[in-house]
Amino acid sequence: MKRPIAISDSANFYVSAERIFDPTLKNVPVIVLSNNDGCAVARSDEAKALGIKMGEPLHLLQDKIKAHGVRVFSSNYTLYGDISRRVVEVYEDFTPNVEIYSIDECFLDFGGFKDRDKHARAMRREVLRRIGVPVRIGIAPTKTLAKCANDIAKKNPIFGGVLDVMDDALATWLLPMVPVGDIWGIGCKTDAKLQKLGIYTAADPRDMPTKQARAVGSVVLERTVLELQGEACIAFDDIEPQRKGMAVTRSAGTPMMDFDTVFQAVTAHATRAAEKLRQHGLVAGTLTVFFHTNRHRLDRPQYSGSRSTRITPMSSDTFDLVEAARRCAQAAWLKGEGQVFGFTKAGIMLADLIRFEDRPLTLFDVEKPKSAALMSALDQVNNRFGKKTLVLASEGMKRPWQLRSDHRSPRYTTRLTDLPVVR
Amino acid sequence: MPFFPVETPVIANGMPVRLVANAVSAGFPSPAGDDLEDEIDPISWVVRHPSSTFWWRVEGDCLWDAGIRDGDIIAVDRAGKRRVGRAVLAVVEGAVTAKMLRKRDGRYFLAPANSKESFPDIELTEDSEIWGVIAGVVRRYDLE
Repeated sequence: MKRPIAISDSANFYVSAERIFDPTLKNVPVIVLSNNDGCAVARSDEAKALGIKMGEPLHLLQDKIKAHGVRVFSSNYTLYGDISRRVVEVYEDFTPNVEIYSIDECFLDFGGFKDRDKHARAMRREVLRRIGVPVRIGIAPTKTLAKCANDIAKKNPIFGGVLDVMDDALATWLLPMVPVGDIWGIGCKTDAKLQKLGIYTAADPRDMPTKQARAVGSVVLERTVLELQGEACIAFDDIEPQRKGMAVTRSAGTPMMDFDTVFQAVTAHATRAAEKLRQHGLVAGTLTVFFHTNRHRLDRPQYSGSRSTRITPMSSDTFDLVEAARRCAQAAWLKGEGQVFGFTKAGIMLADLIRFEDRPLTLFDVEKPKSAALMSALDQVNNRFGKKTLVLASEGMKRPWQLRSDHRSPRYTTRLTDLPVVR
Repeated sequence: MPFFPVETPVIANGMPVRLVANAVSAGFPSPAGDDLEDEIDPISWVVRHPSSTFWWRVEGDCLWDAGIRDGDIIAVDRAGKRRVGRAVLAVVEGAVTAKMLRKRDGRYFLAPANSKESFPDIELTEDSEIWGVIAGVVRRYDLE
């Protein structure tokens, strides 16, 4: 017996999250913008109906926004993260195994339930009742097929948000509805190649010999074909893989013209990275700093700088990381007089991560007995009183590099000052 | 209580004896050691379902008689049972309001709870929706 895997996700999740606390958003076009208010990353059905495309830049949308009263929001990841966590808690009441795939998608182990359809509908109802977010559920013997089922359930209201394709005959009937480009793991290039071969829908690759699949695409396509045939190749895995590296990078709200401003941004990113390291109980051995100008503005002078350094001894101490970042930033900074650059992006990357307990001890360690206590105090203060209550002075006070988010909704669920108000 | 295998068994009266190893304190045991408990957390007493409970701030005194005042913070549980006589958050014509759920002549109303001021009753229509049930209230007073 094949083990049923379900995928549950919310169509337009960010919009759904905004709608929980603001009933005036019901039945009107809503869009949520990407980081830095660049383009639309989530659209309500009403916004989709107006022809607003995924990734369409905000400045091209102004006419539609005015004409149709589209409600525009900056992304509020604090809110979306909290809502996502609550949704997962509801899932956990329905299955012992939940694998979080993204902020709005989870794979769920549906093995062992007698009436899967009923179970899935009850779960969907509970998420809507307890959190207020509508989700759709696809069930199949493999992750790829479950994604297809979820896709169909989302697009066709007749299924009432739940589609179970454990039954082969049903799968055969439904898969021709899924265009090959919409299959999980098939990119534009592979899509084009397959179209040329006369493979248009998810039903076609089922009859494709796996050897041919490997010749056309790669091992990945071969795996996808097997998955469409009902053979589970992508394991159900509820253990988070050990992190090997991490990056904190942001676009700046306004171009950064001088070293101090760039270094303020770099300090903030290094501080955040150090916090993440400590959260996961890791230390880093290598740090890279990079910053560059807007690559799409070829009319302006272009420069990109980056440097890496070792962190010895390996560390998760904010001061160590910021100090390493300062050395890198200074080394990568363009020397001499001349052109002024407007840097629009800066970031830091950490590599060579290992668990704190496993870190190599160096022979001539400088004793820093207070580091751990200081960092724990720093984290506790920022946890209790809000992010950025205590920062390094080199992060600056004005933070002109900070992201633009002119339309962000309140952090309804995580800040006392931002609570929704009822009269 | 953990026990450990021993290479050479200890024999007593011809029978092997199982050795039990456990931490033993050599000093005088703390008389409070067994009585340590968690700190009192009244919020967890108010919040029965953490995933479906959201906090709201109240403006206005239309639920004064129910012990809810202007400036209070209320916990609203979306999973709470919608019963007549309970304080609820409801969405009426795009606005969220806190009222008591009442029933008269087979019809449902959102009614205030304030004997000093008068607020109108609102009849529940198909378009209105109960957002959640008020699970508790938190108020604080000035100290200075």
